[in-house]
Amino acid sequence: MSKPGFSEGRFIIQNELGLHARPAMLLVQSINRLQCNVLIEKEGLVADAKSIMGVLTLAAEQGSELIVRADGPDAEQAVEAIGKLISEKFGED
Amino acid sequence: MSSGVAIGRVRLFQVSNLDVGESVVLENNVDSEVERFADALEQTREQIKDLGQRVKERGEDKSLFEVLSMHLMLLEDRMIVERVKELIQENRYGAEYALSCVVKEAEERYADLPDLFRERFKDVEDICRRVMNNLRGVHTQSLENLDEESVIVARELAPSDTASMRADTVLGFVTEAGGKTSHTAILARAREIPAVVGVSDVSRFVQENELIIVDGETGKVIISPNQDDLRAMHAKQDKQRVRQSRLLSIRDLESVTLDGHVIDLAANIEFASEVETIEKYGASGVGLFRTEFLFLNRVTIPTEEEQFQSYNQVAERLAPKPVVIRTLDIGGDKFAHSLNTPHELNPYLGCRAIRFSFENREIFRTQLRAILRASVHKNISVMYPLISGIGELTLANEVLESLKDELRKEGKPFNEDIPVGAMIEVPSAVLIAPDLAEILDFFSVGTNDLIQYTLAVDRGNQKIARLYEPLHPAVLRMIAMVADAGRHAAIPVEVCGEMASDPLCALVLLALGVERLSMAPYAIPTVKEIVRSIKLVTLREFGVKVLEQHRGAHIKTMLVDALPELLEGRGDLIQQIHESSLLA
Repeated sequence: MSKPGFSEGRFIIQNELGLHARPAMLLVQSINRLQCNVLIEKEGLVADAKSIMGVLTLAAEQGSELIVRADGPDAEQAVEAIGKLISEKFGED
Repeated sequence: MSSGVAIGRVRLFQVSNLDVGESVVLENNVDSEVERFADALEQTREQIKDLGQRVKERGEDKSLFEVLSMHLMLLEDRMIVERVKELIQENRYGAEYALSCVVKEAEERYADLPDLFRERFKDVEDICRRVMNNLRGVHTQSLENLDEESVIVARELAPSDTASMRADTVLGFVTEAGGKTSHTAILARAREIPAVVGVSDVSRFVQENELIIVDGETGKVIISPNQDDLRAMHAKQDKQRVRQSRLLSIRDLESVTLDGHVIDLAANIEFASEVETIEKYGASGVGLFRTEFLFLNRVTIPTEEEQFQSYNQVAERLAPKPVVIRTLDIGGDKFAHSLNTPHELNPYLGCRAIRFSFENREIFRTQLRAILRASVHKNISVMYPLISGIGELTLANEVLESLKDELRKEGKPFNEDIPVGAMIEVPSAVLIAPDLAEILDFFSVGTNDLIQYTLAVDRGNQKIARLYEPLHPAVLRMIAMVADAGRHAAIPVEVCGEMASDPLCALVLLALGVERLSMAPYAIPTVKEIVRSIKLVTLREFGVKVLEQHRGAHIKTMLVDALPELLEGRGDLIQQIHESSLLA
């Protein structure tokens, strides 16, 4: 059940090297200017998606499942943006 | 290690400690402490932006720019910024101490991660050290603004530091961290700055402004040298200067023997920015462009565009001089983190070089596309490393042809007749050289690998390093076989291994029938002088006798004894060969 201003998505990291420095930077940049709060969860570990250190230290390798939760007026936009980057393998491979 | 000797005053660089003692501030001062931290962040941001601008203007590599963008993001990272503020406001910590605690927290966070992620803690350290310097009002020592010539002594030089280094004020440097393939060592070689890396704890033993000698050739560092040391090193410097100017004076002379044979002397390079040294030393072109360094010391794989820029820059600048680009030779002793190379029990016999490229077909295709696109200047040849049989060669060529098709369809220009060569460095390739010659446009003998594979010697292993004999009869006969196969098929044979850089070995190679050598740029002038002082006919006759020998040691003696006759009347040159050959 999604309530207004809340959005959630599940994604599998597909690019070979996983969510390393460059993809992590792209991810943070893609949502940094949005108003909503965004959290990323990997196997119970939760990180602030606007923190480059948080995203990097999730150490999400190829095949990891990420749950993205966004809360705020532009929540849907945030989940979409992250989903798009992941499915496009961050332009790698 | 690198070239040359530097004598100068120590400038300790960024040894500012991130681990600072506990400090608290009065309740009244909490707000101003937070502000002080915010100011330091802002100051750091400005410095990084400035640095980024300069890197951009100098057109340096993109990976460095990526590192700087990462630093800017870290400066806005809540886990650092908000956490420091929180520690100041709630625990009344001083800003320096708060920052120090946050760095420690971050270190723990990164500690158990896989390599690729854990390594990024360096970025956190690098940027926090800058913030710390600004907090303390320590004038951030920028290597760019050194007011006098200095020798830099540092624990480690981050890419953002080396980026701002200027050769006219940095006489040399010594670092505690780093090996032969570290970013710092490579940079020192490329810019010809005397340097010694991997000297543990050196920064503890030196003081600011102390006199220090850095001998990049021997890897020796002398702190507080005495008069004798100074005299010896000044003499060494003078000798180098004299040799340098004399050798540079023959830069524009033709590389031709007394009896009129032209010998091609090309340079081995690792970076696009080395084209300048090629011109400086008068190379006939690039005989080996090692592309690994585009892939090392970085987190991401270089894109086709980035590779194209790099290859194109060299090709365009040097045209019509030839440029031989070797496809990725990763594995063995070079590991790239961006390529996630797995650990192998026997890496030299494992998935390296062309085998790695076949396993990682997309990386191979991207590289070949970039090379093809840069071939429009008509001076680029492509070369595959570690070919061991005909199957690998035809497979590599199939990939190349399919990419030509692709580019044709996209309407992108390239040289349809781009010459294709192979490194001959596996004994099997030597034995089937006549077969390979039917498909190839040229051979290039990689002596380092050929020696280790022929003699089954890992020269990195101290116990058996003496078995690594470049003049072993088996090695020389192998090289002669390749030279013969090339002559029969009328394709050029080049030698691009370390042997070509050693004057004594270069002489042997010429004696065996090789007519193209590619070497470290600085080695070219000496070899050119040798070329200009010999008669090829006489040398070839000598080569026949060399091949009859049964022992490497005999060959060496024979060679040294023959020098006065081969280089008649060139006592000075013989003296120089004795000084610069590792074998003499």
